[in-house]
Amino acid sequence: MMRPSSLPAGFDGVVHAASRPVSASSAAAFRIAFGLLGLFAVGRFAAHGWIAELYIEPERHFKYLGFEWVQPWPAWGMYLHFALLGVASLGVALGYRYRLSIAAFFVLFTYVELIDKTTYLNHYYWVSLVGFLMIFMPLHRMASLDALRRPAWRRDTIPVWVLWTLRAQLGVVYLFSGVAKLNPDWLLHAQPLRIWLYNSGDLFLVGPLLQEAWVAYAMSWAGAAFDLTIVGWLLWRRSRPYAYLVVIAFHLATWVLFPIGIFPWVMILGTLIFFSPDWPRRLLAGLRGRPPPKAPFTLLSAAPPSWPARTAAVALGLFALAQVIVPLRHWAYPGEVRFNEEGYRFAWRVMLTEKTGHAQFRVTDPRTGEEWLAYPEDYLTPLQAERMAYQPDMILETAQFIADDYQQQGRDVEVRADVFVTFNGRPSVRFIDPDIDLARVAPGLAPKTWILPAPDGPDWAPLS
Amino acid sequence: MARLLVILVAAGLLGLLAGCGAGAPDDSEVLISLTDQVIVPTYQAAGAAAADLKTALDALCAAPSDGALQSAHQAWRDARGAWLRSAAMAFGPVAERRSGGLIDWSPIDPERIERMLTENPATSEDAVRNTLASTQRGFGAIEYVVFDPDAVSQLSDSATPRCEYLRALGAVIASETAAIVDEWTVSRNGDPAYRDFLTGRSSSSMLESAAVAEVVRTQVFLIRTLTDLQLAAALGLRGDGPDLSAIPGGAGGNGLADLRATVLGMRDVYLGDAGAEGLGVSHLVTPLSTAADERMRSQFEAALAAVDAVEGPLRAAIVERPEQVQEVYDRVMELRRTLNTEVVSLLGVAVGFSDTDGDSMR
Repeated sequence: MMRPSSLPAGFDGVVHAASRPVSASSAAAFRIAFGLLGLFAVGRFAAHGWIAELYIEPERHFKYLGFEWVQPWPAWGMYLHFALLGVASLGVALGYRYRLSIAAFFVLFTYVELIDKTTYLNHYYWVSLVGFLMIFMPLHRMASLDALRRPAWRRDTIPVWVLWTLRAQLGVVYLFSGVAKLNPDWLLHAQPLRIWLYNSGDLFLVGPLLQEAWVAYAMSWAGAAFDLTIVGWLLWRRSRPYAYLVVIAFHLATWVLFPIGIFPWVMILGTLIFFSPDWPRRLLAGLRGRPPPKAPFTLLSAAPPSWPARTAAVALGLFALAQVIVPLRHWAYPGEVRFNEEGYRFAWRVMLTEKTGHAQFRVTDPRTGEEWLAYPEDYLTPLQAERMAYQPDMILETAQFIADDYQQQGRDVEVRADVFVTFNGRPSVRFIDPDIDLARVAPGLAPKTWILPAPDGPDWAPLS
Repeated sequence: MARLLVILVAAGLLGLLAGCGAGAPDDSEVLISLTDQVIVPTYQAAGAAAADLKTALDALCAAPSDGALQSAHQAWRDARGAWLRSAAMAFGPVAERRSGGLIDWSPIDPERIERMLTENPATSEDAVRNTLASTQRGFGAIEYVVFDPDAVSQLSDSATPRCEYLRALGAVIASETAAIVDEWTVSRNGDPAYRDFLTGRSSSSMLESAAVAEVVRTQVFLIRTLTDLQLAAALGLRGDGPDLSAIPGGAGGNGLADLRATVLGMRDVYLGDAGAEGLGVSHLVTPLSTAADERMRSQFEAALAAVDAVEGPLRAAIVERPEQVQEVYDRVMELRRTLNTEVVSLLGVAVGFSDTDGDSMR
């Protein structure tokens, strides 16, 4: 690549540098892997019967604030939705009508995720974010049906911001996941790994080893060190191959030990983006016994960036800022985020907490003073009831489901909750203020004063 | 030299693995002990008590008398108690055979029973097993017949098929409990006995962690039935007023004994000690949290003490001394909360039977 003598400086300089062309081959490989994983995920959902179990059978769904309008389709519509999602995934992988495919993928995938909080997973959130970013990335210029159909679209290069954006989106997962592990439970008590590993005692050969306390401590510290530093090791060219082997080993271990779905494969394939932009071409050349191809020669213009490029840069900067602020928003709430879960989601708290709850509701008719019990199982599926029992916003919504049900019968009732949770092996404690009428509490982002604070003192220490 | 080093390292690792976890029993040891010392003996006891009930019913029908009736009452109480003690072990053969519908269904339907006896009486084991509804058979149907105030005279009337029906009811319970014991203990047609399938002692066995989950989930569902569907409904805590029909049973007035046997069965599974030194769920909880284990043990005792403190038949107590039954409910709810939160969490059991992914929490 030829470097002009005078390049723009300041903001324009950043925009200019971000548009530096690099080989498009690793980005194309990322697109193919992303599409195939999407297709695999759709097939997995269908094969496990989750489309019906999670989206068709439940009578009620837990809604995200502001997205109450997102509703499941009728049964045939949900199956059609997933079928279209599979087609869109395939379109992304093949690079066929790429922009349409990836836009459809983003909308269809995110819509499914927004139907019910019960199914929230960090890696699904990541897929939605990356799907959104990919709409604006020219990932179809190489190794795609689009490039075959329209040779004029074919390019060997893409702007470097594409790679750095994808790397950053992967990096935040590791970094914030590592930061979240810097807590006394994780570091000083090896919790929740102590509990989880102990229950993997029936694994062939290593099972008994996993039940040893020192193994839980070693894995806790190693896990935190991995999350906090792996991005640096992947960025450094000399350590990158070794770091990638560690990435593979780490994620395969999590795949064996925990029911973590496609997350390990997302990360194993996704982190390939940290390698040199032309690694697929080099790999293919190596497999064919040919010398590695030369980097594409491209002249970088010295002209100042256009206003669309500047606007895009500002938008990307704001997106990046949001990626930092959203995981840190829990600092705006009082109390322990792992207990009260205010700001827990969308913050890359991956495999961080062992929490289980038991919830029961008391319904009162204020006119008569009569009080009776209501059971979550009468309103929710077993999975919804289980997940609800330790997540305050879902507890609130369940109370309001119950109130709405009585409202439809012409009774204006108050609903209070008796909820007990255990957290990282601590004794179970009351979680929600039993005197608060949750039917009258408006959902929102304000601190939830009806969540009881986590107890203090030696009796509340996690298991060691 | 290098090879020697590799051998030494490998030997050291194997030694390390072999020595790991030597102090605490593992899932397999607990499951084997629980099965051999608690579950199978409990079903065998239920089978023996059911056979005694059948004998008592046969004797009653052969020569109806107050004495024979009293013997039948006692045999019914013994058999029902033995059966309910196995309720905490109602997975595997009982679930697969749907034995509950043959042995113990509540409520029964007296009108339907009388209509059947008049119009198309089921007088053989086969007829009871294959043609009657669950509401017309089992312990409840036997209770309906033998605890009737006119039972002796009704059973003495050779013009009615009541005795044949009663004998057939006893025969079904006896043969079904025997079949359950058989499935737990005997391998057939290449299928392992369930005791071996559950405990990893056959070539096709359940994963140990799945077996532990099965055991714990059964406790979770049983205690929910006990609190939400029976006690809370009977006490009127569900909002529709006290509903005595939520308490299984009828004229036999066995509600308290039923409750006690059910909680005792749960305690057997938890402690793994039905009269013998054995391992139970407690031995999986203790290595992780002695405090949680102590809570469970003391809450079992508190629940049993509350049951023992109730005066008189359970249904009468619900009406006349509801505070005593409320105390039972509160104590069993405490036990349930610890089970559903701490024990479930420590043992990594998904209560909801879901196999969906989770990447933020278990």
